[in-house]
Amino acid sequence: MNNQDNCTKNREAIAALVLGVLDTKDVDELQKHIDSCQICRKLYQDILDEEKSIRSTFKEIAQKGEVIQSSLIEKLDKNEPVTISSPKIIRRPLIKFAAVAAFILVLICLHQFNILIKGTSIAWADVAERLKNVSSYKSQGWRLLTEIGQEEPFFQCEILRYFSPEHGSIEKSYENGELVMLAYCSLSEKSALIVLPKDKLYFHFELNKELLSLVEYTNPANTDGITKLFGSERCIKLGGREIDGIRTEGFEVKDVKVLSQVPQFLLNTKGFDIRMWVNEETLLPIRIEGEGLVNKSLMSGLKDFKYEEVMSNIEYDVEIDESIFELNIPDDYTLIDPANLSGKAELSMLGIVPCGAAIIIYKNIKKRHNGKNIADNI
Amino acid sequence: MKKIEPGNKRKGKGANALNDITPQELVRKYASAVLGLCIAHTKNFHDSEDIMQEVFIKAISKLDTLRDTSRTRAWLMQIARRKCIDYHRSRPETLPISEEIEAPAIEKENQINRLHDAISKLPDEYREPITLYYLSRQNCHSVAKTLGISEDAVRSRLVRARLKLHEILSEDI
Repeated sequence: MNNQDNCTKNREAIAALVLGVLDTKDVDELQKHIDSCQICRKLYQDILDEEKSIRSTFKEIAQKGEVIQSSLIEKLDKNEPVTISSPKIIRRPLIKFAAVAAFILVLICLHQFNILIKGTSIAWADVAERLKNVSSYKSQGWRLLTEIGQEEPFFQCEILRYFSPEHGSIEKSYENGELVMLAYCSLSEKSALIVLPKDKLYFHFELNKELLSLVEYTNPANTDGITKLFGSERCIKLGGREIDGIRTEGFEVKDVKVLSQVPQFLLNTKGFDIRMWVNEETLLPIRIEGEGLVNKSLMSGLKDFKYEEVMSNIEYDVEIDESIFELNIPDDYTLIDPANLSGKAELSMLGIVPCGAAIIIYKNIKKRHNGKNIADNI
Repeated sequence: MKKIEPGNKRKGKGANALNDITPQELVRKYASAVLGLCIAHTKNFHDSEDIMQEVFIKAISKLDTLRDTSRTRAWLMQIARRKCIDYHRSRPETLPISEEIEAPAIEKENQINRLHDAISKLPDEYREPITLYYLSRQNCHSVAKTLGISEDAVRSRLVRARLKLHEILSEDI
């Protein structure tokens, strides 16, 4: 026991002794060894001295923790808002970028009902049957964009969304009751439009190869696309939940890499978790939740943020007034100049903002829609 | 849009944790474990304090989504780990402590920083058991419950963590 090899083996036992986790039957024997071995005695003494300091430091830490604990409880007792965040500063350029990023996610939502159709479980098959007959829907919901490390979102809005197979999807986002973004995606025209009324700006672009491939990825007919995941073991049943007095069954697919086709430096997303809550009686989803991380990229305003969205109050087979899809851009609205975005060259290079095409579309819109204010359609 | 409702236990149709635990009870019962975990994943104590608060703000706002209260501890630990991951993502590499913290050179503060720095150099699997062990007043059973592992596994990691910590602290002198 006195040679160096044995002492090496005793190191763990000595640490266990100091920590007070050594088996009691081994304590006496180890103590005898420590008394007789200079190396182990020194190690034991060093760790023991250190231990006193560590415990006293952790006591300090625990006391500081208790102060925070008391402060939190005090605020809760007084019903005071519990927050440590500094006042929210909304950076408008960031919102513009975020709006663009958010709009791309609208493309996913356009098909998210159909996502369900390829489900292989009996429950999904039933839901799919119901969804096959859905001709239109409208929904309400909200979206939060929260910078990583911050508690308060830098952008939050309420959303109204309409979908009609003939026209596509249109989404209106309201911040404190005021329309802040209108996003329209027309698959028949293969074009998309984002309007920012507060700034009197709009952004119009063709759904280029990359974006169309993204849409195709979400197409249920594409068995190599996202539906493959929902037909796979990755679809988790979440069990029952009551939403607004309605019994629902939850389903979730985690880490859906829906935007992986978009170059990372333009829009760098991690996987999205998507949850569907299906009405047990009607077998139609009444609430859809999605969340994911968007990492530093041009479209995120070079920020990391968390994206959260909820669609609720979904109504199916509703009559949607066609005028909702007639977008009239007022004359005093300006097409967002790519020069104002950071990295015009990069954006143009990727074709995501084909400057020339956008200008042509802009002129055509001006010709087609003269005079009527977009506010008429809100 | 996100509101934190600190009030008392709610009685409603839907069974969730708000029926069984108040936000205050949540803080009281798990503050120490959450702090321990935050210390294990950060490089200075002030960040740990901030993240600990963020964890509870998040947890309280989501308490109505917790359906199985027997999972409260694991649920909170998951939130804490996510917050710590967010913390790492949102920050550049931490500067050496002497440059980063302009706090007065109080002995206790220095001791905390030195220990925290040493813990941050431990391998991933050792940091959580050792911080939780000391913050739970050396209670292996409690650490095992928090981490969802056996007490034997806690003891084994703890011993190795402690030896490694000794090496780091010895080099630091």
